[in-house]
Amino acid sequence: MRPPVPIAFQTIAMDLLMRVVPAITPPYHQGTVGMIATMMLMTAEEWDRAASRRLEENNRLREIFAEAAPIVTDPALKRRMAELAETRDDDLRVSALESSNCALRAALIELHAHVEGRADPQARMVDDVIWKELARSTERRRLSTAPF
Amino acid sequence: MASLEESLVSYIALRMPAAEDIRVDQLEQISGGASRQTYRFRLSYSENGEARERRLILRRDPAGSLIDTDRRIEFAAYKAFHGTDVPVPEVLWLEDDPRHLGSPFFISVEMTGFQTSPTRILMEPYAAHHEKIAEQKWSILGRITRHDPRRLGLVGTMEWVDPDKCWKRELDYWEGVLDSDELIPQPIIRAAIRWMRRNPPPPAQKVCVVHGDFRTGNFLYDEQGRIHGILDWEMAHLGDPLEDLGWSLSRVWCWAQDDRRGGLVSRERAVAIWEHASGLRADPAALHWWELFASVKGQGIWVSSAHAWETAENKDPILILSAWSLMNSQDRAALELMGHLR
Repeated sequence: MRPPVPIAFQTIAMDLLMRVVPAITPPYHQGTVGMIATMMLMTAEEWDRAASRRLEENNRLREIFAEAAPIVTDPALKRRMAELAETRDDDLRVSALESSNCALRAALIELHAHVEGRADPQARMVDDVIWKELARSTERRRLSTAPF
Repeated sequence: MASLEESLVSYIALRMPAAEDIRVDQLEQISGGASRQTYRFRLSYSENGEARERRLILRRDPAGSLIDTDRRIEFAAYKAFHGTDVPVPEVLWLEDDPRHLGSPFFISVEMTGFQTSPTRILMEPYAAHHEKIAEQKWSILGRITRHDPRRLGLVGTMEWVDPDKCWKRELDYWEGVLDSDELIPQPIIRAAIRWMRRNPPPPAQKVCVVHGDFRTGNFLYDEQGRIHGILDWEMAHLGDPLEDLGWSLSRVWCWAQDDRRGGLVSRERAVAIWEHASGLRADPAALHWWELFASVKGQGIWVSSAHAWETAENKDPILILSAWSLMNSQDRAALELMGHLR
């Protein structure tokens, strides 16, 4: 699509916010259009990175599962970790990547709960790796307009 | 089918039998959150031959809501605090019967000429008064804790909770919201919940009225930096006073994108104001627990707003905007509190 979606959305959203919104009455509709313009700015920021950040995250979670599987003591979870580590994203549509991401992050919750109560060094190391990945995941999703 | 103005006239006539020539005009919807549809209007009538006029606010339940709240509790909180040192608008009528206006509602007096915006407060002329606004904001929150909920007549309308059960009741509730409404897994908030259950806070120093959404954006302020009213009591309940303090300090209300809480003052300054006004101590470990709880509750709200938009009739864009803009900030706030934000 040309002009590129991020540039088109940014330009239109700023026009809405600066020129159109102040001219709208009543205030409720002014607020609604302002919200829509803000969502366009968010979409503009997310558009280009949407697939790559999901793919990067999915692959990182698979690496964590592959590293963690040998030290998981619960047999069912151990098998699941090994199986998920072998999956891959063949469909690169954002919806498909998001679906994989949900499955992988749900499994991450189970792995995290499994290792966080253990004192052995291997579990501590996996726990640390998970926290680092969780912090990284918020950087991938961060929007410039967000309060924090 | 009667217009909303006509329906309001019919309803007010029932409530004010001595009034004549009742008229409703200048009705307009205003922003009031997604949990209620909020309208302002002018009521004109005559009584004993004298013409009168009032500016009123209608808060009506929508088809789907950001938060499942009880309008009876919200109404009771307004009524209880009106006329005290906790400024709130006067409420007039509560109506559960949907026949009158299509859904339950309540009507209050409008406090006119003030701002509520959490972003406008960052600009002049309001920016010059941040210390003054903060002093009032956290002092009012402290004063809320000094009011005995029994004397306010709120015990019964609001469910009682013992001091040692406050944390568990709230955490159970908001974890339940996540369980029922989350559309995508929440590994950070789930880890926070597990930590919180392993490390519960001490019992509440006292059981108080908890506003439930005490933050910049939910009070009326003017250009001289005076606060005139605390709004949006829809999540009010009885509980630990540190719950409101923790919520008010949340990083997600740092709209100036810096460390000032509520866009106003430092965390330390806010806590000091609250301690002075409440006469209570904000034990650092206990407050830390309640600040982390604020992230669980906040994420519960953003998750349920996304869920409501996708599954219910309410297609208010604020449901999307709040989910898109705050879910990741809420995760980052939780990470910071758990010492894992790098």
